[in-house]
Order: sequence, then C-alpha cells, then structure tokens
Amino acid sequence: MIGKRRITDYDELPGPTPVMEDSDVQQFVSFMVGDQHYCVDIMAVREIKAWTGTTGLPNSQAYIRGVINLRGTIVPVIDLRMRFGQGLTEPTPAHVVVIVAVGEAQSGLLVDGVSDIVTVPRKDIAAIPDLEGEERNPFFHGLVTSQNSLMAVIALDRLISQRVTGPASTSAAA
Amino acid sequence: MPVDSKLERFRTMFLDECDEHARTLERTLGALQRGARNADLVDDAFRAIHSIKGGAGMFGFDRIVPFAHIFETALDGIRTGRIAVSEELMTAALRATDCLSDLILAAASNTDLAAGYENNMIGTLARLAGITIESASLEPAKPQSREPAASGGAERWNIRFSPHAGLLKRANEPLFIVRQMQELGSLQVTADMSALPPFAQLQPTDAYLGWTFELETERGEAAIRDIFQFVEDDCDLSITRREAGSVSEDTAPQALLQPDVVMAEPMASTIRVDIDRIDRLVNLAGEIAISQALVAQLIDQSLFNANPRLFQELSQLLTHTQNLQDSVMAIRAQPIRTIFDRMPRLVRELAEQTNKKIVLRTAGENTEIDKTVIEQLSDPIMHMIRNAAGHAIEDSEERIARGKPAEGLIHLSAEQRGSRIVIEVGDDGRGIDRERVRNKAIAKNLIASDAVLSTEDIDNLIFLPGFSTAETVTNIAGRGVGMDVVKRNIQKLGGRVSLRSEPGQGSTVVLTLPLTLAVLEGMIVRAAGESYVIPISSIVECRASWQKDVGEVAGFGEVLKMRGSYVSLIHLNRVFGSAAAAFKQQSVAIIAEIEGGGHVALVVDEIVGQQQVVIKSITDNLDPIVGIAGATILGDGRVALILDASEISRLNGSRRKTVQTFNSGIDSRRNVA
Repeated sequence: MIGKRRITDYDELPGPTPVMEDSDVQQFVSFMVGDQHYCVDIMAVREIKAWTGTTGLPNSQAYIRGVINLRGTIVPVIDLRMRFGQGLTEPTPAHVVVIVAVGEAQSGLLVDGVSDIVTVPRKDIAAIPDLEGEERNPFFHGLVTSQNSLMAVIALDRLISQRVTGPASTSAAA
Repeated sequence: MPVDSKLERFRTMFLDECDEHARTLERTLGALQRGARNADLVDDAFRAIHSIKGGAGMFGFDRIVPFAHIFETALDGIRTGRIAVSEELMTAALRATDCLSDLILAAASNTDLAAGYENNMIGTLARLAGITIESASLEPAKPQSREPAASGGAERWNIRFSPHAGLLKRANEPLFIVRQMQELGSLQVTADMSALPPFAQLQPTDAYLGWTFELETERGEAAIRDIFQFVEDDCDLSITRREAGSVSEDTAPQALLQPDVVMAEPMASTIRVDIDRIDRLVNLAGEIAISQALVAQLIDQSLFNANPRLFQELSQLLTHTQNLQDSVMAIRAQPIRTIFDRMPRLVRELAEQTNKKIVLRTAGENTEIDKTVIEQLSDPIMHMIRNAAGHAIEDSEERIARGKPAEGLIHLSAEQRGSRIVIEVGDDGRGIDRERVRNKAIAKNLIASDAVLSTEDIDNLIFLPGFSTAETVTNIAGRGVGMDVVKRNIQKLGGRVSLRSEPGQGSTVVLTLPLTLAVLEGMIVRAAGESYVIPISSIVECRASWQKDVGEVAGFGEVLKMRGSYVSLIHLNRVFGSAAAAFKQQSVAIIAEIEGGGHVALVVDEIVGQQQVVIKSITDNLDPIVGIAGATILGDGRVALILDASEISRLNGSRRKTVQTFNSGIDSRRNVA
C-alpha cells in the first residue's frame, strides 16, 4: 500500500526533467582504420595492446593475421582492414590490437589506432541506412555520431564468426 | 547459516561417494554374476552397501536406508556363506543396484520417486536371498543407531603383542602385522616402549617395542590369529574379546564424528578438488616452465662463467619445474573405470528393452587418461554401445540360425599405446551391410550414384552427418545424429575414430585419443617463416640429405625412398606458405608416422630443437584449422603451432586427387578449412 501511495505522489509532481540514467547511455571504444572511425561496446573490450607480431595460421582466412599469446591463451588477431575488404594492413609497432570478448571466446582486432571512449545516448544509435545498389556490410549494427565524426558500431559476434563473409572478400592468400 | 551449509557440503560429498559405491557394487556383483567366486568381491560389495546405508541414515535419506538394509542383509548372508551365490540372485542384486542408484539420484536432486518404486525390487531380492522382511527393518533406522546389526556383528578385541628380542632376525616385520589388522576393521594401536633401552645399549637388530591393539572387526578370532601365524613363536600374544558396552563408552565422542564403523576402514586417502583449481595449477605450471626458459635464455654465457653456481641452480630449477609439471598432470589422470563401470547397467537395460541376450566384456579398466578426456568420452561410448545393442546384435533366433552363440557380445576395452589411448567398442553382430549403407547414402544424396568407393570408404559413410541406417527410429538408437556426433566429439579431443567391420562377424569402432591434453614432447622446426612443433611421438626419423632419394610419381607427386619403400613427400613451405617458398640447403625431411600405420615425409627448413611443450587449444577462440592439432608458447613467448602429420598428409592428398563427389562429404574436416 505504501509503495503505491508513493508512486501516486511522484506522479503528481510537476514534470521533472528526466535524469539520464546508466541504462540510457552506452559507452564505446572508438578506433581508426584508415580514415574511418569504428567503435565497439566498451563492455566487450578486455585490453588494448601494441602490435608485436603474430604467428601466422596456415590455411586460414586471409583476414586472420595469426595468433598471439595473451598470458597463456592463444588469441587470434583479425585484420579489420582486410575483414572489411580493403586489403591487408602493414602493421608497425604503432598499430594497436584491441582484445575483445564475445561470450567465452577472445579475439584481437588489428586497427590503426585507438582514438577515444565515447558515451552515446542509446536513442542516438541510428540504424544502418539501406543504400541503393551498395552491398550491405554485415559487420555493423548501428551508427553513432560523436564529436562530429560518424562511427560504425561493430557487431562483434558476426565479425568474429568465420562463417560470415565480408564485403568484396579478397581472400586470395592462404 | 554456516552449520547448515557445512552439513549440506557433507551431504553432497556423501552423495558423490554413493555414486562411487554404486559403481563398486556394479563391478563386484557383475563379476559374481559372471561366475567369479571371490570372497574379496563379496566383501567389497558388502562394504559399499554398508557405507551407503550408514551415510544415508546419518543424512536422513529414509528411503535409501531400509532398501540398503535388505541389500546388506542379503550380501552379509552371502559373505557368511548362509546364502549361496546364484546367477539369478546376482542378477536381482544388480537390478537392485540400479534401483538403489535411482534412489540416490532422487535424493541428490531432491525429487521423490513414486511411492513403492523400490518395493518390487526389495521383494525379489529378499525372496531370493531367503530373508523375511520384518516391518521393523523397513522403517528408517535412527541415524545414530548403533545396534549390532548396523555394524554387521562387529566385535571388539584386545590384542597384546610383545615381540621377543629375536623377532626381527627371522625377517618378520611388525608393521605388516599392523597393516593386516587394519584391513580387518577399525584399529587403534598403542605402543609399549617400556622395554626400550638407552640409545647406547640399543641393538639395532633386536625388537624392543610391544603393542596393544584395539580392533573392531566382524571377522572373529581365527582371522586375527592368522595374522600372527608366523610370529607366534617369537612373541607373547594375548587376544581377548572386550565387552561391547564398555567400549562404546570410551570411544563415544569418536563414534559421533565417525557415524559408521566402515568410515574408519582403510581406504585410499583422497580429497575432492574442484577441477578448475587443478586446471589453474596446470596452467600455472606451464607458465612457470615458459618463464624459466625465458630466464635461461636471457642469462648470458658470461654470467654463467662468472658464477658457476648459477648454472647449477638453474638446472635444479629445471628439474623441479619438470617434476612439478608431471605431478600436476598426474592429478588429472583417472582410470577409465569411471566410465566403464557405468556401462553394464546400460547394456542390461538395453538387453531388456530389445529382448536380446547381450553380455558386456570389458578390459583395461585401469588405463589412466586425462580427466577432461574421460568426461567427454562417456557419451560417445554410450552411444556406440546403444548402436551395437540396437542395430548390430541380432536376436537370439537369428544368431542361432547363423551359427553364432545365442548371447550377443559387446566388448569394450582401453589400452595405452605409446602416447595415445586406444579404446575399442566392438560387437559380434551382423557387421555393416555395405550394400545397404551405400544405397542409403545415395538415397540421401550423400554420394553420387556412380561413386567408386572402397569398402573402407563405405564403412566410413556412417560417420557422415545425418546418416542412420535404422529403418525404424527407436528410443535406443537411430535418431540420425549418431556416429557423426561421436566422431566430432572425439575429434574435438584431438582423437580419431575408425571402424572395421566384417559382414556377419561384427564391427569394432576404434577411438584413438591423446594421453593427456596438456603436454607433449615436441620437435621444434622452422618452415614457411614460422616455428612449428611436431610431436616426437609421431616422428620415426629425420634425414638431412634426402634430396638424392626423391622421385616423382605421375599423378601422385613427390615420393621419398625409404629403405626400399616409398613415402609421399610434403614440403611444409608449399603447404603452409606460398608455393614459391625459397628452397633451403639445410632443409631436413622428417619422417612421421600417420594414422593407419603409414608414413609421410615432411620437409622443413631446419630443426631448431626438442622440448616439452604445453598444449594450448586454438579452438577456444578459433575454428579448427586443418593440419594443426593445437598450439604452444615457446620460450620467447611466441606462439608455435603443433602439426598433425596425418591431417597434413591427407590435406596434401586431397589437394592432388581429382575431385570426387563424396570426398568433400566424407572428410568433414574439409568443411572447416
């Protein structure tokens, strides 16, 4: 009874400005590949490492650059540029590997550089527009804008799955 | 509430133990049923049921207690020779074991079985054992009840044993006597050191100590006297029976802690440890080995020269690390018995459901294998046994008509061969009907109708997804998710499955599994710009000057002449790198054994060394890769892939072969490539 009473009281208050709660916003780690910005849900990011080379995997997809030793666990590194069909990255020590977790599985994403952590209201995450005649990139599930730059939100589960093929997949090697 | 959670923990522990006891019953009664007549078997069975009863009473499992009591009484009758062992009685006892397992399972999951579920079983067992069920005995026993029946008529004995000085000279060992008495029952020993002289006067070859034993046993005076048989003339011995009443008083506090006499019996001292903790230990031991190798590499030779002890201590550390790793791995090893012991019940039930007569014969139950492997093996083995009972074994009339014994036979065996464990599940049933399998595969579009298949190829069709020859789907087997799942599960463990079958004679599925999933002795090689590990266990020899022995066979590729025979030659550079990989002068051909007994020569750029490597799974984070069995982390912290010679040879072969329609289907590995 008491609870109900309170709710009624609250309803009678003169319309307060809604406070933005944690659940109303989402945080992303954003990074660059070429001049494009992308981002992933911050909750999926485990750590960020400098590129130190990988051990190549024979007979695997060209976008898998190989595996690294992450404190005793073997983690594959995905070349995002290659995954998006834009050719292989020429990695230097300045390149960065973002370690992400999807369920139990961990993967590294090779990117050109990490730019920022952005906080975006959930309602501002836009759907990917259907472009006429353009092949739809299966790895994005939304678009966000932060500090005047447009970023694609990466759908990690699809990105990591070897069963999902990317746009203009140029898997000539292997 | 801490007390409750503690009790809860003990309760879980007890239920775990019950599971083990049930399996002991299964094993011992099974052996008796098959005709073994061994007092130890009966004793083991009795102890198992007795422990179940005792614990069940303490934790208030009211349905288990009366059931276990009748069971116990029956076994006690056999033990004392009052009841004769018959196959019929043992069959009933085995059924009762199944029923008891159900009761335990129900207790563990806090569910209630239908009232009277066990009554039938009790009745049969009691009738066969000639026990009259008193209504009193069906009532739950009081947890702390210590009436003689609960301890199986145990008596307390006081034994005074004072060796003469010359006892030891006649090669007697008092410790053996103590141990033997421990086997009789619960034992308390007090040493009498009064005869011990000052050290200076001590004669090392003389016996000075005497002992007083308090023994609680059901075995009677003769059994105790037996132990002292050989020392009788060299000691003063007195054996007296103690009054039951006076004893229970002075051991009362202990009796509360140890709810049952049986718990004080000598049993293998074990603790239950969460497997995650062991895994963490395994991982850490692996990491230590890596760190240590790194340190060793970083230490300069000049440092060693400046301080010779450094080298000494480092080698010491190396030995310790190695031992640590071995010990940790040993924790994970378990006898495969834990799976095998579950199978008799399955076979019994299947035989009943299918109205066939089936015997299960097992061998090699003590073969030890990694715990993880064991856990993953249970389902595949059960599935294959279901298949054998459901499809392969004919019913009695058909068997007799074919001149076979009326009883079908399923055999299940495990054995260690080198670094692998080989498990066989076989039957003496009708074998694979190749014509039918072939037609079925064609009908299901798994192969082209004009495909030319060897008998082996046809047999292997049953491993294809969606293949099932059962004409009617039964609840025993034949849901079409059969052998391909078995194959996939075994492959996931780094194992292989093969099948051999003789029409009319039966078939055998052979599972080959790695001994451990954690460590292997590997040869480190370089090829295609990377380091790779080849398991030493598969390497037959390494050849430096191999080029002169190479020949080309049309349509087959390069072969290497090896003591009169030829093996196919594979350049790792070409398989793993670009086809135009540089040809290295110092390259070595490594001849490795492949599945099925053949060999393959792998050409690598150079051999780097040999070391124990910790196997890491690559499939945790990645789809499987053809030719790669796993990965490891080398001394420099880099990842090196572990090669699978058999798969590489197959990969190479399938690349060269002209495309065959069935090929892509048969080799499911290619799908993941």
